[in-house]
Amino acid sequence: MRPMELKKGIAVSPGIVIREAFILDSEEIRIPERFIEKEQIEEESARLEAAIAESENRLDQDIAQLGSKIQINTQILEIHRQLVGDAVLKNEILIGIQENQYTAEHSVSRVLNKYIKKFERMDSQIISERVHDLYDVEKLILTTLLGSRVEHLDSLEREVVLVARNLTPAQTAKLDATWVKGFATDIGGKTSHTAIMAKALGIPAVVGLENISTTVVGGDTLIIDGFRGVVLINPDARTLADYRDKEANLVKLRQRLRKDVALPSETVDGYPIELFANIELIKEVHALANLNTAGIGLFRTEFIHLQNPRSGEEGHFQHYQATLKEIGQLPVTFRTLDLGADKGDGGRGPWVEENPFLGCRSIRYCFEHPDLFRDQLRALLRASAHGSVRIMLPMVGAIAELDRALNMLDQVKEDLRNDGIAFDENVPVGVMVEIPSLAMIADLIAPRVDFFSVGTNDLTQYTLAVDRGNENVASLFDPGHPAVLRLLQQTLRAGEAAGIPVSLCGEMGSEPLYVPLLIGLGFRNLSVSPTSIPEVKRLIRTIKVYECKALAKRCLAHTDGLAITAELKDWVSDKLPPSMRF
Amino acid sequence: MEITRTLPITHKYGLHARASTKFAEVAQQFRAAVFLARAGASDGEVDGKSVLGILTLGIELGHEIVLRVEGDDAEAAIAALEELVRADFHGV
Repeated sequence: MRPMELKKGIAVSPGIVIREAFILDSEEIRIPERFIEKEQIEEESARLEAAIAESENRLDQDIAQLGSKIQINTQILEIHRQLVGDAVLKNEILIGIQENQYTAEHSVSRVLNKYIKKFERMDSQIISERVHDLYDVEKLILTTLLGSRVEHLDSLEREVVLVARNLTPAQTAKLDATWVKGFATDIGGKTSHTAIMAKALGIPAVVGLENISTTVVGGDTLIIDGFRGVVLINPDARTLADYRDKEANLVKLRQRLRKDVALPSETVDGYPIELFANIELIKEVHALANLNTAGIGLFRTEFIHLQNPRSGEEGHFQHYQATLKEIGQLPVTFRTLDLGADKGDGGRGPWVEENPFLGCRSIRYCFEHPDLFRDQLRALLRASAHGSVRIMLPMVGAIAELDRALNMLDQVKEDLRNDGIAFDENVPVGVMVEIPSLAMIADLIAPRVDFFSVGTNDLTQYTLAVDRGNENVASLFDPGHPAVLRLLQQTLRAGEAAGIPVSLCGEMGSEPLYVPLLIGLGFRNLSVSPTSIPEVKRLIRTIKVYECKALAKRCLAHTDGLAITAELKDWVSDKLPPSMRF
Repeated sequence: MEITRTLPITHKYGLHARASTKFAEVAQQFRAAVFLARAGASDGEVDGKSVLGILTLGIELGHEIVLRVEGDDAEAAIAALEELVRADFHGV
């Protein structure tokens, strides 16, 4: 067994887990081994040759079977046939086996990924769109190589921790939470998709580990320490025993927190703070009943679309209705599709933007795909007849955009009236405050909407021009920056002046460091991941609003983020019991 | 024998996947080594019998390709390949 190795990354979801590693390679096929011994080189090369020959045979048979019946299909198969039989490709794979002692599978994956990256970067869109052919070819050779040993993420039968370069929403939408107990990824930051998913699932995660996906070998034992941001590969007996104790203590602590969950969410001096849940997956809704929440403050609808891009009006409606049924009378704030940027485009194939976070994402994407948007609005309105529905529009940056969305909503309402379909005529419509431009004109927007909800992840990233997923600048991502705090304050004031509620649904609301500050600024309504609810509630029940107000005032007087962070840390270590610190 | 020829690409989609496949298929019929480059580009030559190599050149409508063929049947090879390119890959 290889010696213990420690890797340091960014802790994004707390907890401790000890499990076998499951390495996710492209197309969710797991490559069991990455390296071979010198003596195996010849055997491994022969294995590759045989697998390529067999793949060619399979394609030849498929082409012959299809004949000229369906011309387009055989054309694609012929392209695949040429790619599989490509001598340059085979040569490069063999070099990987012979010179780097890679397994055939690992070498196939590396070489094809090199070409995939090359294709994605190419100016010619016609060629960059062929990337999926390369994925198909990779998958074909890999499944041939692995034969019956192919193991898919969606057919796991034991508990594992997932190791990957990065986790995409398309991948996480498929994974089975029963078996996946932790994440460790090469890239990502505190608010990356991986982090949000891990919190949603309540499993520990460490990201930004740089090369964990190529260091860990399938079958290695991993400890993921989501408190310290550390991953231990093949821990020695002492470390293992240590962590087993920590894991057991944690389970006990969680049980204790759960017991307090029935208590009201209010501060020591009696101010109620409404706690809502951010929901990523339908299956999380059921567990909310035990958490005593005020409802769902952010229901991310894009996962319905990513799981099935052809969900359509009916597919969306079914999901919404099921959610409302589960939650009873409590309100549910549905955010309309937030696709694009890091959330894929749901089946339109690789379509690379130079700067996706400043590109066609979210509401902009919906305007580009009006049928998709209309289907969703219809589904939401229909659902509003079955419970307390609120509609939240993401990524609005200007009044014209808001008006455009509201006009579309009015048209859909008119259609429903004409069709005699019931819906809530007064369904509240709000905007997510996540683009600085919107926060700056919050006073102009507020009279036109029913609520504001601040998305602090994007608001911070756009205000500070820091890509939250880029580990080189992740340390500059600071929600406590004075610029962010001023925007929060401005938004709160605009909401107050117009008499509309202002809630907060970003990660900031679940970080103990920021909760007292947010309450001091004036937030009385936080939406956090379900797994954070017990801890945030316990924190709320230990603080006093007038103290939070004084804290906020001191923070706003500071001239830079570092001083604010120091102020918050001081306050936390002074006011909070040790068990609430982190 | 070595023959080099520069040819304009007039196919609407350039050397896209199906055209590249066709090109590699024809090139593979000859013993001669076939090399392909984009005129004026610094990427250098790729193996003209490798569809993967051809695709990485990213050749579009309006580009020129430099075709170099080396071997005893180079003349036949260049004739077949030139015909293919000039005929816009026979409508693929």
